[in-house]
Amino acid sequence: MNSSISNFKKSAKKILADLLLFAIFLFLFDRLLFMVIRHAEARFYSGISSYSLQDKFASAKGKSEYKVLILGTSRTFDGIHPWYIKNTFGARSFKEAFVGKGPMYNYFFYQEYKKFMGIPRVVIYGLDYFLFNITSERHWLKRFASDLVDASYFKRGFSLLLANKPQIDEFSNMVLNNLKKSIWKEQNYLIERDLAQMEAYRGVVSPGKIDVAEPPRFRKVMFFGYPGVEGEYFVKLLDELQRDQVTVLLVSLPEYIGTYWTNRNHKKFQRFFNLLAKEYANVHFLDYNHPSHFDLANASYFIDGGYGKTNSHLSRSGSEIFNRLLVSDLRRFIEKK
Amino acid sequence: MGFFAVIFAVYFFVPQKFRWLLLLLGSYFFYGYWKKEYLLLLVFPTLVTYFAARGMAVTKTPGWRKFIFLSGLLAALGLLFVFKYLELFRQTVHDLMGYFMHVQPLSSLKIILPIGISFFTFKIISYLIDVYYQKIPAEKHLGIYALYVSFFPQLLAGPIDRAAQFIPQLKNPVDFDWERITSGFRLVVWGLFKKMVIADRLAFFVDQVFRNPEGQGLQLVFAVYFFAFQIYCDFSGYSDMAVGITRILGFESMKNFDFPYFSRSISQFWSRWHISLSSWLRDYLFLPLAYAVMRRIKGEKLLAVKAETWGYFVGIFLTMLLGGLWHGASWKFVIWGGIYGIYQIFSYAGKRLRKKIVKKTGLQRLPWLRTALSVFFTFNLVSFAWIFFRSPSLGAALTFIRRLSLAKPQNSSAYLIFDLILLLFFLLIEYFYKNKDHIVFWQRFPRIAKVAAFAFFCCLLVVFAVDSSNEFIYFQF
Repeated sequence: MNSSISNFKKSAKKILADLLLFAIFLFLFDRLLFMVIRHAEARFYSGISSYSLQDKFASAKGKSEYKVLILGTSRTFDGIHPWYIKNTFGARSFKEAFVGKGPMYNYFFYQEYKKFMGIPRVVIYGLDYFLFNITSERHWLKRFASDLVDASYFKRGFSLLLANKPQIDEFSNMVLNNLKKSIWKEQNYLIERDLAQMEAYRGVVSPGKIDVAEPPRFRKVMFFGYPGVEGEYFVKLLDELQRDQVTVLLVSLPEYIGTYWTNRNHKKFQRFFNLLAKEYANVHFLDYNHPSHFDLANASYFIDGGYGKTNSHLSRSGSEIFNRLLVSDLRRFIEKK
Repeated sequence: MGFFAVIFAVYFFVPQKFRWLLLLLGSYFFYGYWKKEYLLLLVFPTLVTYFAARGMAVTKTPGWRKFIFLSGLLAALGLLFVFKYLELFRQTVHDLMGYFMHVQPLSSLKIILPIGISFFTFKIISYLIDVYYQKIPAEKHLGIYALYVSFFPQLLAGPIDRAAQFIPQLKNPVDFDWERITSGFRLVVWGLFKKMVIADRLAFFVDQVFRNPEGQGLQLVFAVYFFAFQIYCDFSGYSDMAVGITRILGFESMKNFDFPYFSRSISQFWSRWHISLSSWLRDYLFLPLAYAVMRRIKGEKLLAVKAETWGYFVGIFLTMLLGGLWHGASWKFVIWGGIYGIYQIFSYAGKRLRKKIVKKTGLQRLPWLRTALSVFFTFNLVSFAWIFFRSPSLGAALTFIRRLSLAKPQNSSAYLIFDLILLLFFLLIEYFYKNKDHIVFWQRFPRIAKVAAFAFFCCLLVVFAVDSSNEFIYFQF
């Protein structure tokens, strides 16, 4: 007999005891630590001040003038600007796009938006390659009733710590940022809070530093498919917009060429959203993220991104060109109504 | 790790005499998975050097032996040169020509550096040299030799184990030993902790500061210190994982790091940092160079300096330059190596002066303070040299050094405070880990408590690990 197997048999009891003990302790500490983190998280978020959606809606003057609702993450915040839409069509846009606003946030947001602002004519949803790989940030979700959010926010699994790793990371980042602000006595003011500023905002003026040299080897990233982390909320939102008879434009924003090649599975991405758009009468997919549609290689059009980097934001000059393209395509959707 | 789990699951069920085959096929799959064409780059030098060594073993004529040896060496070094240094060589020649005449812009050859080539080439070279000088016999079993060259835990970033120590292990039967397996597993988890919790977290701050050093003030200083720990945790973390996996499979790899930042001098630092490389450079480069220089000097002294000292100076400086170049095909790495050469020459030359200073200041009566000052001074010298290593170019490194200041930064980073706390925590654990055999209370811990502590540590790893896919820094070499 193989001596390894006979050795294994001899020490089988010890091995089993060790493995069993390890599994039990792992399970216990996993639950214990998760409980501690959740408790700390609840205390932390109840302690920090937050700007409510009601304040934001209340600051909107002439509610009926808001015909367009813009949703998305930071890429949309830097890429799609109400200013161009207003200047072209005279229609005002309510922009609710910022870092950490994933599909779950947008779904809950839309419920509130309908209550306070009414149903929009057009929704522009800025798509990201990583749309199904992001988690809506907790501090934004705090704007909604916790019984609605908590059950969806925290995930179940054999290891609660592993299943909720993004949530734990977000919490630790929030704690760090708060610590930093209190130590350096920093104050920040987010444009996101201010509707008037959002309507006038046209992107970051100075382009960032982008490493334009293509390295011989860089990380390439597959498309993280549906449903992913919060994909079901994305579809729920589309269903609801369909019922409300809102025209939805799913807009894929340009990425810097290095990022474009990093996110290598664009065909799969396009195929998915093309198919999805076909399932709804009022949903349209507009893809600008292709070298033939936009000068992706011009680094001055972007503030970040690069080879091996999955995220890329348009600069002011880049977003100007992009928004002019977008509004010319929007014409058929906005004016026909 | 998934790949290793599969190998581990079947390894002990495979009969002893076929395990080398499982490991060899696994290693080739592991390497070829990244780019299957590059498997040839692993197989070709393996075959050439195997037959060169066998040829040396059967040839009686010294001239032929030398010819075969040099041919094998040339084949191994030639591949390394083409795939790693040709681009730098072309660019340098082109730039030099540009000083004297008008030259057309040079287009890149776009050669992709095969991962791990520097590591397995050094294994091959040491094997050939050892066989040539008859320190070890030429391995007869092609499969065992191929496994030594391609052994997957060491393939991408070492340790560069020597054939004399490793090949015999590959031939010995390996029994299932639960204590050895758990010890290897603990090392793997510790390596993961160093990489995912410390190195990747420090990388956020370091990358941010090095990417845009303008207006960072004091944060530049912290970035330099943090990078020192980032690269240590990144590389030693990988080494721990490689040594741990090797141990689980029943073999012992050489120790690659021995708490290098507690070194009291630069030479001690190099005997504790990347030990498998530094000892390789010592044995196959420094000592032959130093002896060659000493032999060339006729008489005991040259320009009033002992032949022995000349041997040391020339040997160490060239070794450090080449050691720097081994790290990457860029002049910044040569400068980085050169800085260590200068450090060591000054350290050697300044021995008497240091002794005088110690005597005059009375530090000899306070050995702990002397040790603390030496460690602090050495750590700062090492950290300074890392600036050249980390900066994207030589120019960027010089700009970075010019900007070093103690001014308040314009934009503070949230990671700074957390990283400091994390580093203290890490140093505490590392101290505990270093001394765990001497700490009585740990030894008296019942087994159940040790298992519980390990489970708790695994949970902490999940909580604090950075969820990113940063490659190990040394994979690029």
